[in-house]
Amino acid sequence: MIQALAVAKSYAALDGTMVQALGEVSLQVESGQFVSLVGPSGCGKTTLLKIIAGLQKPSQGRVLRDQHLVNGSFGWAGYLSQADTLLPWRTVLANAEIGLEIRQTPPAARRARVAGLIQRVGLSGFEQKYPSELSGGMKKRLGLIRLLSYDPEVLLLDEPFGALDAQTREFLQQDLLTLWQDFHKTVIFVTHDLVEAITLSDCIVLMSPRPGRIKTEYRVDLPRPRSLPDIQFSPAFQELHRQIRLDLQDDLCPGLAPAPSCA
Amino acid sequence: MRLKIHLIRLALVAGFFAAWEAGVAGGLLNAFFFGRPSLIFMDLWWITVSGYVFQHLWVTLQESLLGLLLGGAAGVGLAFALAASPFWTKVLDPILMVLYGIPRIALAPLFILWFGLGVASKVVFALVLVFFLMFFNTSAGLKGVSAEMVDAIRVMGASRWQLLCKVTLPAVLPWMLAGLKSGVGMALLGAIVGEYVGGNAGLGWMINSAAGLFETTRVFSALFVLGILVLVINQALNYVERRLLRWRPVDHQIG
Repeated sequence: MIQALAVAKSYAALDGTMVQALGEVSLQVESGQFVSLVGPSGCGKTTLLKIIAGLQKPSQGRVLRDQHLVNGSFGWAGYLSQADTLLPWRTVLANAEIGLEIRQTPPAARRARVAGLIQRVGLSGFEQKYPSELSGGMKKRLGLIRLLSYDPEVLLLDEPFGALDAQTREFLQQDLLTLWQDFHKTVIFVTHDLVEAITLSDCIVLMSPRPGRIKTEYRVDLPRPRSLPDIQFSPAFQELHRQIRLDLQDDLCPGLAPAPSCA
Repeated sequence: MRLKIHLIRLALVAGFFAAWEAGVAGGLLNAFFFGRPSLIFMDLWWITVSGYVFQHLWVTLQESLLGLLLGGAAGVGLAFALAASPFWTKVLDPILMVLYGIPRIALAPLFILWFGLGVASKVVFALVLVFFLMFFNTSAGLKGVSAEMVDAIRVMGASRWQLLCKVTLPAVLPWMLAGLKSGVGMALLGAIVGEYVGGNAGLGWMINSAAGLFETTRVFSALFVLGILVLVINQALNYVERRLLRWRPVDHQIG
């Protein structure tokens, strides 16, 4: 279980004034749960994810993992962002193995562990290729199995499919759904795409901006296993989508009147 | 395609020497000032078979390669050290800029004074020239290492040492190799200028003493040997680069 307790983050802007990126936010994610953080840009969802990952220090509050303070310890999570963070000088195989290499797993065991994953996401035959030779979708698949290879408890995903075209994106969402089903990972997923969030999640946390706060939490009670695109046309899906969309609207354009914050 | 490139290249060089030779034969150029390819090639043959050129080549090679390696190591070392310490970067930044800004050629006489007429003074001079090149190149490379990439590996639980070996070093390697390649020219410059200013051996000394005796042919012979030397070292570095940077998308480099 991951808990963020009264976490807040402020930083000094270029002109010296203090900007509060994240108000006091408390969040609890049960083991094996798939939780999405959604909200308009500037609501601090990425900041919150980085604080949970331990990549940023909160100005106040703390992050607990199974009741223990995380406090700068790494290795229990996997982090995948929109950016291409594959190591370009390593082959597909060597990229997939890096997490195990860091754990000093013997080469034979590494290979055995990774081979199945490579096959699962359709990268067989590409083991000796370099990332520059892969398509955007293949890179993201490699990014996903690079995390699964070393079996972290938690996946922290920050708009991982943001830079992909709509088609590829749906394929990857389906991949993620089935991988999650099989590997039982806790996932915290940042996105601004409501359809993506509802499709994937057990729980959606809607955040509001300036400073970032949690506005509403939604349970997604759609049956699993889910498959695309069927699930997206179910009435329950569409009703939930409408609800969250209206909720989000208040922050984008309060009262629908042309307010200064709308500009 | 490759053959065509080689042939055209060869034709250009041959054409240049033919025009030069014809210019001298036709009385357009004075061989006393401009030399003459046929005489230069004869001289090259003579200094090769007599072994005369090799003793000087060896001296210059020693000076420049030692300068390249030591200066390169020092530059890379300081760049990594400063990348780890913003405090010392702030302290040293203006000092380094001043040292870099001084025309370092002007330091040659001092180095001769301090380290003597032999190999040592030229090594130090070449080292100083190469050092800044490698330092600035490596620093630029280090600044360009993607923080997102490092973070992603850090979350996996990598130690500082693992991050250095598995992420930072490979990411900076292309920059260090680029620095090394331009460093070859700098190291040779250091060795040659050092030999000009004060020395008793080496290709620079050979050029300087031949010029003093108005032996234009010998000057060109020495320049020719220098050209070959640069070519060989560059080819070797290109080979190393291709081996180490196999992962880079193929660019349309000619050669």
